[in-house]
Amino acid sequence: MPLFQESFLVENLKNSELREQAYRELITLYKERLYWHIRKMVLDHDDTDDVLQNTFIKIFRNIDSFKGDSKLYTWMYRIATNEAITFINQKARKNMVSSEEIQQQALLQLESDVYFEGDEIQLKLQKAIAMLPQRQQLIFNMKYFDDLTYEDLSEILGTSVGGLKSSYHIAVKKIANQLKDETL
Amino acid sequence: MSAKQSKYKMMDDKSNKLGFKTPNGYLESMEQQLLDRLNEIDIPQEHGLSVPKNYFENLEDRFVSLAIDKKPIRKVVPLYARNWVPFISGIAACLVAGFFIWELYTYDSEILAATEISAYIENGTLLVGSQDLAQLLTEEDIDELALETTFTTDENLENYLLDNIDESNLFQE
Repeated sequence: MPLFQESFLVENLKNSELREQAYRELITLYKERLYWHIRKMVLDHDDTDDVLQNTFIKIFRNIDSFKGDSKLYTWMYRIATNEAITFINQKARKNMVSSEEIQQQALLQLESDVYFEGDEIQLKLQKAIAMLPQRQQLIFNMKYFDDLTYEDLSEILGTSVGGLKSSYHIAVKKIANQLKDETL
Repeated sequence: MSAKQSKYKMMDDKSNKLGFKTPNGYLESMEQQLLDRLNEIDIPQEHGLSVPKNYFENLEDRFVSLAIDKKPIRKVVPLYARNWVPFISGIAACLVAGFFIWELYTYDSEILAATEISAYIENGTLLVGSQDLAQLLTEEDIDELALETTFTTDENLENYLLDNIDESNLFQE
C-alpha cells in the first residue's frame, strides 16, 4: 500500500465520522495477511479467529496512539504477533504446561484437522518449524511464506537486519536438515 | 579418471568377482539419482493450511460490530459456580470487628455522660458564654425562651424571689 494512501487511511481512522468506513477498509486490506500470520503461529483455525478478532479490536482501540513512526502494516503485524504469543502463553498457563507443549499439541491435532490440506512433506515442514525457537519460527514464517523484507521484519520484531539475516539462514538450514533426515 | 575413482572401480570389480550383479547403468547414474532425491526434499513453498469456505467474506461486519457497536463481552459467571468462602469470611470478619467497635464506643460514651461531663461543667472548665449559646439559637428560639421566662404576674415574680433569693444575703448587702 502506498504511503500516502496509508496516511489517508490512518487519518480517517482517527476521524470519528469516517472511522467506521475506514475500519472496514482496513479489515478488507489486511484480514488475509494477518490471518495467515497468526494461523502459522497457533495452527488451529478457531484459535486463529479469536486472536485475529482481538488483534483488530486492539488496532481499532489503539489507532490514536499510532504516531506513524513505522508503517501501518508493520505496526499491525506487531500487534498480531503479540496477541498470538499472549494467546499461546495463556493457553499454556491454563493447561499448566509449557508453550512448547501447546505447540506440540497443536501439531498433533493438525494431522486430523479438516483445515489442513497439506501432504506428508508439508506436515513434516510444520513439525520442523515447531522445533525451532519461537523467534526463529516467526522470522522463518514471515520471510519464507509472507515474503516480508528484512527491514519490515526489523520494524516488527525490533531486531537488527544483520541479526535477522543470520537467524533466517540458521532456521532454513535447520528445517532443510530436519526434512532431509526424516525423508532419507 | 582420477586415481581415487580408479580405486573405487577396483572395489567394484572385486565385488563382481563374488558373483553379484547390478542393473545396467545403475552405478553410473547413482550420483544423479541421489542429487535428484536431495532436490526433491526442498522446503515446500506452501504450508498446507486452509480455511473454512467463505470465511473471509463476512469478517468486516463481524469485526466492526465487535469493535464499534457493542461493549466488550464479559463472561457471565453463574452464581452456583462462584466461590462464596471469601465473601462469607469477609462478612463474618466485618461483623466481629463491628461488634467490638460498637462495644468500645458505647462504653466510653456512657462513662463520659455519667461522670466526666458533669464534673467538667461543675469545675467551670467549660468556657461557654451567653454569646456562644445565643449563636446556636435562632431568633425564634430566643423569643420562645423569653416568653417562657417572663413573669406574667406579680404573684409569679414574688414566688420566684421567695424560691431563689436568700433573704439574709439581701440584708447584708
